[in-house]
Amino acid sequence: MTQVTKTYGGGDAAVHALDDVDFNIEAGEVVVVMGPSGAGKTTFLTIAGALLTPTSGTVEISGVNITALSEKELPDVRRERIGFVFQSFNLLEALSAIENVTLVMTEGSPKSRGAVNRASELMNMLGLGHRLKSLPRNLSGGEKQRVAIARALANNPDLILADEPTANLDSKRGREVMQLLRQIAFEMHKAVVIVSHDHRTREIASRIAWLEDGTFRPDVATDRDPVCQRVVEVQGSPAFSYESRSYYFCSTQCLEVFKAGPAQQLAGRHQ
Amino acid sequence: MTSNVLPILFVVLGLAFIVGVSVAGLTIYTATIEKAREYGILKAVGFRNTYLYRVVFEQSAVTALLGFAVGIGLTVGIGPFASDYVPQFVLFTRWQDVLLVAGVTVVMALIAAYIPVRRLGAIDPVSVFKG
Repeated sequence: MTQVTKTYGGGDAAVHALDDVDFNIEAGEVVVVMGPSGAGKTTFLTIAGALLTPTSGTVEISGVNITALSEKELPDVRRERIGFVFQSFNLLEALSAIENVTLVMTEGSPKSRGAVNRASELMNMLGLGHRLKSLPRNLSGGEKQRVAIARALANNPDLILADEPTANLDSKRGREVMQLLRQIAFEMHKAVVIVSHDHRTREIASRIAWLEDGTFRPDVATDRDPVCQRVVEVQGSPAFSYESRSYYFCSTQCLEVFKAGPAQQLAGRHQ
Repeated sequence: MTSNVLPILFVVLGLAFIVGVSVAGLTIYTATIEKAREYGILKAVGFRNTYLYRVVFEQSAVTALLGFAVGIGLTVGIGPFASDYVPQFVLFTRWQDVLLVAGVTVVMALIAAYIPVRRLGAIDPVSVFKG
């Protein structure tokens, strides 16, 4: 991504969701994009995912300049070169787990033999071999997200884009999903971009990119909000000292909750 | 007598056509709105609009086909007995008429799918990123 700007509106009301952003990721890397709400993370992800066209700048995926492609060519780029993992899984409820995966390989003919074999292989690899024919409503959150990961990998894309992939999962399942994404990057040689507020994602990151006010900011000191567990920027965040350590918060609400019972909050943090 | 009745029958047929298109259109439109998020997901992961349009036209065609089958079934099944109860009612079914109704049904299905398809084109795939 080179010098990408996305502006909504015009004149005095113009909002720069992304402002002259440069971003690069190599195969085998996991980059976690963090930042406060409204920083431009979703805009970044949707532009990287060929879902939104930037106002200016270029986006290249595997050597293809997708900003030079027409609107009609972009769905093919999304299907063949990019795998999406969403916060709320976004599986089709009427289709079985394996049909959700095969569907994207065949564009609408989920029973194709080759696609079924490939989907079975992926789902076995992700520990879902016993869930091939289950409907999404019968799967746990972790299983749904693994089906979504299998779908993202179905067409063997070079780039995986994950939007808050652990937000709807408990701590254990969240860690499992993060480890899977790490494995996918390292062992399958994919470039994985994760947009997240979840501090656990830092454990698997090759690097962390801090997005704020539409630009990536280098050398930003961050800490974890001990109440909501979000990663927050140290500078400018509400702070509180307790037992000779400073704690930083995403909002004054979290700060107040912490002040009411710091020992309890810190005990919860270590669980 | 015939010249007096025919215009009335044509008006009734016209109304039936409008009601048929409206009911089929509303059914398809409701189904499309209910599944808007799923269509958005398909768009996001790389399905083209043309594929989604095809899905809606197929749904409309199936609805129309079912309606056609029920209509023809009732005509063939009940028609011969109708004059026993209402002697003034004379029903004569020709295969040309059946073909004509089939053709009209296809036209109704196409018209009924037009508005839902336009709605489908407006679904923004970015919306699936929101929660």
